[in-house]
Amino acid sequence: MKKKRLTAREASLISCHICGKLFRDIPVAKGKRKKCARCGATLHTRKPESLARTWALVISGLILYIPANVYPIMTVTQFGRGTPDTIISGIIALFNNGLWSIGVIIFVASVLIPVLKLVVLVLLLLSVHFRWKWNPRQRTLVYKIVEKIGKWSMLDIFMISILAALVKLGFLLNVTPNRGASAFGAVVVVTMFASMSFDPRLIWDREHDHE
Amino acid sequence: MMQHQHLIACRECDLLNVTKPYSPEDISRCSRCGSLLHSSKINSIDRTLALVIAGLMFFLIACCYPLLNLKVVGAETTNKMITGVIDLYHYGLKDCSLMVFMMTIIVPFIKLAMLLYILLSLKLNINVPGRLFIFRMYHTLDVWGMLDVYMLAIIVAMVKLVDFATVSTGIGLYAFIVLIVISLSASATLDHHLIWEKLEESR
Ligand SMILES: [Zn+2]
Ligand SMILES: [Zn+2]
Repeated sequence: MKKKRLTAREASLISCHICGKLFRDIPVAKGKRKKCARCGATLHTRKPESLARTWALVISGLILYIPANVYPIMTVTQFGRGTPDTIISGIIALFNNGLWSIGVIIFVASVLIPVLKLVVLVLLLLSVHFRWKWNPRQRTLVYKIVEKIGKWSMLDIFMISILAALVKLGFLLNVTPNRGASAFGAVVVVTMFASMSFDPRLIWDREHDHE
Repeated sequence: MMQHQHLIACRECDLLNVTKPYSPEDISRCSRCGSLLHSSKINSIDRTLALVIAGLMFFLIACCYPLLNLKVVGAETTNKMITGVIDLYHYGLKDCSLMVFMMTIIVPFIKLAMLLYILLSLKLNINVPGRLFIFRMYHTLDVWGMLDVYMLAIIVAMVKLVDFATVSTGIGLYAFIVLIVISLSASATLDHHLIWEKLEESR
């Protein structure tokens, strides 16, 4: 018969989340933290309060997403005239001007990725809470993708910083960044922390409990 | 604490995988979820060190010279990496300014500097303080360096401005492109497992 494969936790081991070294999980005095003997990072069998923290950050992200889309992110002024653009109106303007290629890029970075990220994290959280039978390997893959793509949402913010610095021709042409950009930047940072605080091992823990 | 060098726990699913003894260019994946456990690199320290030194040089050039020039009927403006940060600050978006500063300048620079410190000390076989701490910080900072996203932002900004004005590229931009290639190669040649082992041995 095939030997049952153990997880580190089942074998009473802890792996360091930074350097990967394995340690025997021995109890320590109350109030003292277990530290990795190699790199000094705090050792946890699972990320602490992973579900609660991820929920809190996902909800913060959803709330911040409202001002990020309601407030304008930048204003382009040409010959003294200009209207402030929100994320969505900026993308629509790009399509109307025939700039399809960058319209699509900005849509993916500023709308699709943040929304997808929040939706996927909510689904992953629910799947752990309610022990869904969704294939854990697929879930791990989805999690890893969401974790990798998050930073690309900063694209719009970086672009605004470049335009604001470059386009300063006074009456002729001027780009001013607006408050919505700060809210959107906060969405990106908060959702990045959200995906970092989710522990994909929880997906597999629950799976094991079923067997 | 007891050591288990033949075992490695998967970061994504916690399964214990048995690893083979160290061999160059060896890639192993978790037998349950398929995540990368570790991948060894040939000549990792020498290669990464060379890339890091070149990267720091191009970083300085990319920071000191203009990335883009903009011309509209006689008037002309240029921008450097830092001007975007300063202008966001002046327009009152202090938090945005800080984010851009950290993600495009501070973190990428510190990451390169940290690797230089660690790799040079390993190469020259000198024991300098704080290396384990620095390599740990390197891993914590890693996700917040976003040079590649900034590169795409430059391209998008250029395309967006084509309708309004004449945009031309500056020396800083060429240095920046080289810097991107170098920093991507450096993270591809860096053998984390090897560095941890060496740092632990020489402690
Ligand atoms: Zn460690
Ligand atoms: Zn795994």
